[in-house]
Amino acid sequence: MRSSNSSASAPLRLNFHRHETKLASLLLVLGIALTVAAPRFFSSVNLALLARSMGVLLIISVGMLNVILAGGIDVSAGAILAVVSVVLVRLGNHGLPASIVLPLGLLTGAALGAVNAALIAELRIPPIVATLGTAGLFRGLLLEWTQGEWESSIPSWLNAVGSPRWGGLDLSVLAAALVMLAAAWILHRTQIGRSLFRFGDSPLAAARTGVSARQPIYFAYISLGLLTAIGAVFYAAQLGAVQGNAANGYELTVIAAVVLGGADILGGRGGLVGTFLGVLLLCSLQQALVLLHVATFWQNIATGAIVLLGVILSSAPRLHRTLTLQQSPSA
Amino acid sequence: MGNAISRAKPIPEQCNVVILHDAAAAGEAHALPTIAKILPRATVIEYHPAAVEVPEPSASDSLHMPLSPLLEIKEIWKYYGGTAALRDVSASLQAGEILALMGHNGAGKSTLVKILAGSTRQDSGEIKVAGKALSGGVREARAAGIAVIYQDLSLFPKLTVAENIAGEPTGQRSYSWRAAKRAAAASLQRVEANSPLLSCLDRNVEDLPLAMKERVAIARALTYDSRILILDEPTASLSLQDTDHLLTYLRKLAGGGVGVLFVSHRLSDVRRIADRYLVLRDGAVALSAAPAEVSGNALARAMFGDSEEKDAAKPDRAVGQIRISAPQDVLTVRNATRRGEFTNISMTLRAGEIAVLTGLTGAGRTEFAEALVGLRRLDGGELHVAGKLVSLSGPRSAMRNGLVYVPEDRLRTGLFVRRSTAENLVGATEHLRAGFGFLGKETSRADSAISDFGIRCQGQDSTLETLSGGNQQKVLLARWQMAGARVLILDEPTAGVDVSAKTAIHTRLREWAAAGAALLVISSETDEVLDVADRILVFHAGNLALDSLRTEINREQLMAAMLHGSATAEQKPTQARGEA
Repeated sequence: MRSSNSSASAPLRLNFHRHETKLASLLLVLGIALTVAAPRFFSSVNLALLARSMGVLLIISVGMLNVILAGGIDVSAGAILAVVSVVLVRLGNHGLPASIVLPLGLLTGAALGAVNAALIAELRIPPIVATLGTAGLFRGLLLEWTQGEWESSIPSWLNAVGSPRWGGLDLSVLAAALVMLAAAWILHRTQIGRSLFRFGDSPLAAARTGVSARQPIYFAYISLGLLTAIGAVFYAAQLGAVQGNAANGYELTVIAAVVLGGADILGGRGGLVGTFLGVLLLCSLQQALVLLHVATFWQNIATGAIVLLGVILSSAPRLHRTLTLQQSPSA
Repeated sequence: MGNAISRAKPIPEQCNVVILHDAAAAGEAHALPTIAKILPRATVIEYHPAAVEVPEPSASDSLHMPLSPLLEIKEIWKYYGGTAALRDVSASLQAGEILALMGHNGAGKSTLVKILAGSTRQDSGEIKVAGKALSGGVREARAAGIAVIYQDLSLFPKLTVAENIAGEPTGQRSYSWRAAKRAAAASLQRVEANSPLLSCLDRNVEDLPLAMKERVAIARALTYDSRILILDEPTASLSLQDTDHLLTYLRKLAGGGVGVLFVSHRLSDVRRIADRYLVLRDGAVALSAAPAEVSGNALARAMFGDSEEKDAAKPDRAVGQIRISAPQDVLTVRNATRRGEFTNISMTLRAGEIAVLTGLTGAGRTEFAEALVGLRRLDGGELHVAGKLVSLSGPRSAMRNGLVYVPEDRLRTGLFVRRSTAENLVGATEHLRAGFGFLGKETSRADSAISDFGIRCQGQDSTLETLSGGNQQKVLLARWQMAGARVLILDEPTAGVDVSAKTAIHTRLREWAAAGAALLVISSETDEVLDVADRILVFHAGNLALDSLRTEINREQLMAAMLHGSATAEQKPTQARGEA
């Protein structure tokens, strides 16, 4: 009984979100370093640029968070991003109005997500294998369709979406904010949101408490497809030109941001605040390195290092506990 | 107190069971007819928490009896492949009754539990709750008031206590944290006054000790006013004190009209609590009777059939009496201390001896065992292996010194369940041998281990997940014996295995000790302690309260040491009162 009393005495302290705090301090360190090394980083122009560079990544990362929370992974997100971008631009360039092209684009994203979900939920293919397969499939079909050609101009309405307004910010920032709000509500205030956590934490326990074995998978992958399509609108608008090889490897940046944000790659643990901080940290680092005129390959090294550092920071105490405490039935 | 009808409104119309939680006490007696108007097809269950408080159930039992039984199992058949897992099983459970479901491993208990829980469908036959047939599915079973506490608890480790208890999917779309927390607190208070979990509602379940997790699982089962509670081996990993608590609580629940199906291997628990026995053997009902009508032999005969009765009833003690003439000290512990866990423990393990370490939950047994193999670092004290001072950095260096720790959670931390039996027996310790450990003799070594230990499997290539719990445990023991362990520390080696496997494991342990190994067995089960031990060690609040030969101690002294930290409680009345 002694142990139960001592464990009861410190619930508040332990409930503190430690990972988010660590990420925030990492950001603070980066910020202080930047005030010395590159004070220009904090100019309003640069901060607006930073916000614009975060929008697309944040929107898609929220979708990826859903998938990872449900114990899955999706490496076809980059391919979906490319497919939807090309669909939007091609159809737009053919003269179709935005009111038709936009819904079609979103539908494409959701449909491709549903293909992933069906493979995983119905055929029981492990997520990494299923999405590796569809990534190749989606990308290959896209290249077959475009024959490798560039869409070097985008329709004027799409151009308007990507143009800066409100002191350098654009619509992607607003969209990302709305996506965050909607996701916060869904993840924390709805049964389907909570079932993502339950299903990802323990599929067996979830089944035994009556959580559907399919619904969380469909919800996660379709929401990622849909959010990737929303991201694709701003992705194409900001770039001003797209081709079949667009966004190659983008899914890895997305996964890195979510994992850096403290999501457990095995599912069941993670949050929006962490994901936001993860995206912010990755984008600020990129931006800072550009400002400091650091060579591209060093940017990759720094990005890789920060992801590892973030994950090590978050998992170090857990590793220790796994070794010593987890197997103690009468601790 | 809000209005019952307004709270009932968000319930979707297809909902067919409405539970009124103590409506009369809240001055909402008018709620019943109103709900009947809104939901004409709904079954309304009135729930009165006050009724749960009734301490003596026997007097009022007959008053609770409804005309049709609470749970009716009718002629259930279930096939897996070509073999029948359940053959024509019929049984019933009355409100307020505790029915003990017993049987050998593979007798069909868990299949029956799964069918009742709705996670498996029967091939023929019917399950009725209060006269109404269930059509299958977890949600329907839950809505009918059936709650299951699984042996593996089936909790969500990364989610909070509150969400685990009250976060079950309801018919509603929205999820309210505040309502979940309130419901969690309410059901915790129903389980026990001042539950220590009340202040841990926001903590993750993975941070709790096992006994606390068990309480979370129980509280969860009781959150939605369950009428039928099914517990699968609930006391397998509980200490004496927690078991007591659980059994008392189940009795209280039954007094309130809940029907309890208690699946257990522990005869001592079953005898204390059951109103009726239901024994399955080879998928069929072998016995269904009240305890008064059943002699101890009849119960064993029903479980094992006539042929096995002799083995189960009389564990072979002869093997244990072969003793090495001059006992040799293999492991000596001096003044081992770890702050907050155990203090100043000195003890010696001798070759050829089985020492059993027991004590209440939280006494520090497992912590001490883990420190012996370097999983926890000592704050002070020394370890000597065969007279030589050693410092252990972890299991690997412990194994080099011949020390092996077999944790309680063998599926997760002891075995490679997706690999073959042979690999688990032999391959798993290859890395401890010198050189590359070429696998030439693996096959024959595995085969001889399978026959020596009587491991029941479909050949050495069958994956370990296809073996029963008892046979998995035998694999684990065989592995370490072949790897040449000199000191074996086993944490609850027989938790959750059936009686015959338990006897087999005990026999193995004695033979092993007779062959010159030193064994330290951690056990919460008093019968096992008295049955297996050559020497008994009792931990009490982090101290070694008793270290005595089995022959010099009786059951009462053992219980006293566990409860009060002294073999004779009467001598220290002040301390005893303080601990109680």
